[in-house]
Amino acid sequence: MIINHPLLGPRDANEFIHLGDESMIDRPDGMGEHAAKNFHEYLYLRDNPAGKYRELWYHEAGDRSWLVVTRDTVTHEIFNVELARDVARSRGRSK
Amino acid sequence: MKQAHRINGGLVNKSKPIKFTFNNKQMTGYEGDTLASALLANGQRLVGRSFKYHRPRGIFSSGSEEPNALVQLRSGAHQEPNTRATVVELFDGLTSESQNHRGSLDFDIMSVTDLLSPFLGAGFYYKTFMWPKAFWEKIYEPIIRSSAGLGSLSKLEDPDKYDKGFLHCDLLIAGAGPSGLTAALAAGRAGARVIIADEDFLLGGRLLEEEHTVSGISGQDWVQKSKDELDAMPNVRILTRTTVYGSYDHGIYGALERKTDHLADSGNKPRQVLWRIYSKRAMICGGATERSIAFPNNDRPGIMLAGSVRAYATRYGVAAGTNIAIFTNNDSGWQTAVELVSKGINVTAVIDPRDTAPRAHIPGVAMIMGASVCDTQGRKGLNRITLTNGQVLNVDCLAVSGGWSPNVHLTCHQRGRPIWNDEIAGFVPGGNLPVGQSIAGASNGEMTLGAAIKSGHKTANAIVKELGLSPSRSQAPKAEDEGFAIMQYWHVAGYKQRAWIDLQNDVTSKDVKQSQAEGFKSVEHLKRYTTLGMATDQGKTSNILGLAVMAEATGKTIPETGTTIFRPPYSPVAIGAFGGRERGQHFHPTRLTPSHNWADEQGAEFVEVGNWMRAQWFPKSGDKTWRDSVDREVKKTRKSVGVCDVSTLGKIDIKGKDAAEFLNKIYSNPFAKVPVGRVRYGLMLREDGICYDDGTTARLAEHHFVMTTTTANAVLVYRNMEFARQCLFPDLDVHLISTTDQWAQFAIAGPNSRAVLSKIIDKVDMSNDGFPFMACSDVTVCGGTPGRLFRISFSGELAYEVAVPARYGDALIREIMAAGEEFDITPYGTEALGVMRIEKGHVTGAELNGQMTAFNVNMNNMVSVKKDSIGSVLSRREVMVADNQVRLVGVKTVEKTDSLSSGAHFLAKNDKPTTANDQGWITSVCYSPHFEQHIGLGFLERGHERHGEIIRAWDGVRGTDVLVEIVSSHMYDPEGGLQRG
Amino acid sequence: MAKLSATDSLGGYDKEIGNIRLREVANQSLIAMAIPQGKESKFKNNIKNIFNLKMPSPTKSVKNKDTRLLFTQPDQIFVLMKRVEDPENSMAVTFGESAYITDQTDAWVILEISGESSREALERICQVDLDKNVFQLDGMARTNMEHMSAIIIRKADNTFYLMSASSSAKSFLHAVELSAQHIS
Repeated sequence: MIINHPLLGPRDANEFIHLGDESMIDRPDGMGEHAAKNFHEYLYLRDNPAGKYRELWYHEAGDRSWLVVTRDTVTHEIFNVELARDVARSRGRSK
Repeated sequence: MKQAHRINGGLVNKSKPIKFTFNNKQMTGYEGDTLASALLANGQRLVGRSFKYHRPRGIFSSGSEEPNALVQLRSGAHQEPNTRATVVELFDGLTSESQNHRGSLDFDIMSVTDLLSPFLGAGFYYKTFMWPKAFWEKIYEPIIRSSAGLGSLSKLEDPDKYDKGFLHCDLLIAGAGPSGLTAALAAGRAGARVIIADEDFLLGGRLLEEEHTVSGISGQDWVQKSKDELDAMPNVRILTRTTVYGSYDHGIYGALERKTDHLADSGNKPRQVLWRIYSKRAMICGGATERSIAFPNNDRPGIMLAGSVRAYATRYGVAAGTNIAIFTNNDSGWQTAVELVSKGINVTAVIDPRDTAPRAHIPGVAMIMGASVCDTQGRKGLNRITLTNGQVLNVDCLAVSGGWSPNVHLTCHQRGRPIWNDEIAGFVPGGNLPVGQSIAGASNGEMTLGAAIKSGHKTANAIVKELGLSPSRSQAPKAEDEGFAIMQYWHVAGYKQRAWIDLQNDVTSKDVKQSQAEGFKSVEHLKRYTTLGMATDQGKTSNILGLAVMAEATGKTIPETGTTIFRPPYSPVAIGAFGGRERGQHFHPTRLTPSHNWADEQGAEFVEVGNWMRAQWFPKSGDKTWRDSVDREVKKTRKSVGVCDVSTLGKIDIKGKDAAEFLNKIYSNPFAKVPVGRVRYGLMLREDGICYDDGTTARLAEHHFVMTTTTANAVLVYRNMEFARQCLFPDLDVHLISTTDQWAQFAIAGPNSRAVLSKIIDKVDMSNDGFPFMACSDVTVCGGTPGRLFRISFSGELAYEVAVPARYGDALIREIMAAGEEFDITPYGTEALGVMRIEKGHVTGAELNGQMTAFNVNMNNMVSVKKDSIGSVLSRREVMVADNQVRLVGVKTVEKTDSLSSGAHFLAKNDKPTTANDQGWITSVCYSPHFEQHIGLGFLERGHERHGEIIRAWDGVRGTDVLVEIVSSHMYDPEGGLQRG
Repeated sequence: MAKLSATDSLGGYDKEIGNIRLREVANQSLIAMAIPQGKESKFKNNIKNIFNLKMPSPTKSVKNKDTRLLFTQPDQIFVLMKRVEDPENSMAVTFGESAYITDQTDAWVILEISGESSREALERICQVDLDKNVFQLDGMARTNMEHMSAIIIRKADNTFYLMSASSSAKSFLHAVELSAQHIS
């Protein structure tokens, strides 16, 4: 596969490591209420769609950026690639 | 042998004779021949025995679709079995042999299996060899394996080299026949970066094998002219002898270039190169493959594909027979007849099952319409055919054409399904081509020359526009559209003799019907049950025939029956090519420590740790076993001082205003308040609460930490920290960079380590107050070299680690050894390191194996409840902190002479070794020179409260069973006075 | 105590293979500079003031006579310059709070490959498109070569810097040497 890196342009997927669901960004607060339940859901309950999927990839052999790649898991078509840091901020993560 | 079948003309160079052997027989061919064309020229009709029935077989085709003429090339370690003679380029000194016979090719004693064929039909293995069950592995399978099959391996290491590579282009054209060449010209003239690849050693495809006129000149001249023009274009790369074998995601193609297969000697260059081609667009111009008709006894040497008989005549100047009959259900067979006659080859008859007027007027040739071939004779070569109208013809070659199948393979490698086209009686690509791929010419069902060329031109120009370039103004070359009408006529039914469908796997029309009768009606089942379409040719000439017979048997249409899935590779690719150069020591990179050369000079034994080579121990003369070396290294270190290269540990520079806060989230134990100039041991959890790494992190400045990770996990820890930094805490000001390779780092341990280092380190108060346990500092070394000093201990001794930029590492180890000479300093390797850490009770990967929590390793007090860190919440799950969990313990043998093995299980003294009685296991063992006995670490149920108990360590694999005492994991200096002293 | 002498990763390797020249470049310092959050413009100004260079783009390095700047991460660049001792401390003084500086000189080996067939050799290990219209002069990419992390920089039409981890320098050299020998 070719991943069109938002900064570097098209790069072979073999330079990347695949992690999985974008929701890994939404880590619960470990000191918050129902932390155990929230972490259980965060870690173990994932969708596994045949179709469009937003997933985390890491450009390990390149610029070390974590990316959110929107990909069709059936056709492998890639619709969008974003810097995960920007996505994380847009989802309210900070410090 | 003379080349009795050589005729005038052809593209072979008759001024360049080439000597070769077949089954030790000396023969001569010409430059430009394939092994098959040269064998035919020499009158060698019988070239092999069939897979299952050992039937005599001859050359069937002229290309990569060949099912029969599989030969073994070369000798010794270079021996290569199962090579298709039709694609082997002849070279001087080539040696070749036929396959799959016992005794000579002419008198194969295994041909007796053919007499047993009534019992050996489809599925016979599954039915016949059911019982007794034990016979399968010992008796049946070995017999079947030795009687059926293809060539044999040399069983020597492959002496050839292979390589891989990467190519990029705007447009990849797979196939350099008329449509491919036209496309390359159009795209090349427009300035696109073009790669055009063909499996053949010449460009031109069918234009080499058939007489045509293109744009007013002969097809062969047009090919030459086109090649000259493409050669002159710097933006066009021509890859001959290169098969585009697979189509992958996003325009990536796999191609195999045979670099030196056509040479007697590779000249130490890679024999084949496997290319990964990145294309913006791709055009499949793969042409079409002719198929046969299933008629009784249709497998004798001399029965060939009609187009191939034509190719041998036109391209190679070889008459495949002296009296040739043609059996065709379509017009291309008639074109073959015309062309053969024009070359003076004797064509006896054209037999066509269609009830129409003859499709051409050919003087001197019997034109028999409405008839078929229903039997053949000739044990090792055809000599007679019988027709359905009763006629008997004496011929030594029967050229058969059952129509042409477009080569749609590359369009289907991503699950694309081809669709049936009744007009050409073949599958053509469906609409769902891989992204960026187009298809043109015969592989797209445009079967005539004129149409193929036009489609190549038009498709290439459309692609040129998509690429943002302007098509050149040149017109498509002009050629005629020859007739291609076909009747869907697949097999001559109603006769009891066997009619072969798949020659390579000895599958007959009867086998297909039997498969249907037994319920294996799906094409995928048919393939697995009968082996139709398997092996080296993947059914290129037989699949459609098999489907057609199955469709007929089930009363369905061919499109309803469907095809099996096409998968890469298009034609066989040697495993060696996929391996490329990554063999032996090239399998992975080797990382060397800064003291490697020095250690090598000392005669160190090295061990691979991941990619690293680490000194395992340093043998001295007089050492009888490795244990002597290791025991000495441990004893001398504990008694005086030792030095060990620890540069392999992962080192990560962590900088930023929020670095401390970041580490507080990464490590389970508190890090926010580590003072500058101090080191802290840290434990890292996965989010599920399992420990995955540990190490020390030093705070060198307010905003600067240096983390060490285990050697194995350096990359993973870095990746996880980047994840935390970018995805979880994106606004923390923290920055990471790996410095593993930047620093040469040495552990210096033992009571005299301070004395040695005092001679090395510039201007530092090394006293216990000046530089206490867990202190760290930037220093200079040996009079000015910048370095770092850490007072940390893995051995349990007074110990330090000193680091300098890696380029000074070699000099520093020599200085340390010189400084330590007066203290009898010893270098120590990973074994002694391991012994000392077991004695001290430090955990490593053997304990932190991806299943253990902080609770299991008795470090639960290191998971802070006052902060949120990765993994802390889930590490506290009820079951993970339950009373009956296994806990880290130390073990000592009760008898000092007993030894221990890791993997041994803990059992109560009188318990049987059953899973129910299992109480834990041993993870690490060593002989301890300090305790003078075997000791170990392990996990035991409630182990932390069972110190002093005597239980068993039972190892069913190694057959040992010894009594052990459970002790604290901190066996050596449990109070830690030594390392603090 | 004698002053420590330096040993280069490849001992100053310099060899010709066919029309390719392959040599170790050992007289350089390589310095990583991370850009603190919120200090981006100050960092950029310092780069301008100290090196008289613009910030490098993600795919193209910038250079003057002595110094070349490479984009390595969204908040990090590498400075490749004439060898200086202890660049971490000397640069930290110059850049103050506008950069976090880490010496990388010893973490990397630098090979220069040049000559007519250099691209043909690199085809065997480098998956980046090196066409000179695509990977232009001063173009840079960080990628894999033979399972080793590598940075490639185009210095001239047929001249490239190849940088890889110093601990596997010999394996890296061997991979490049083989590629040159394998041209056919």
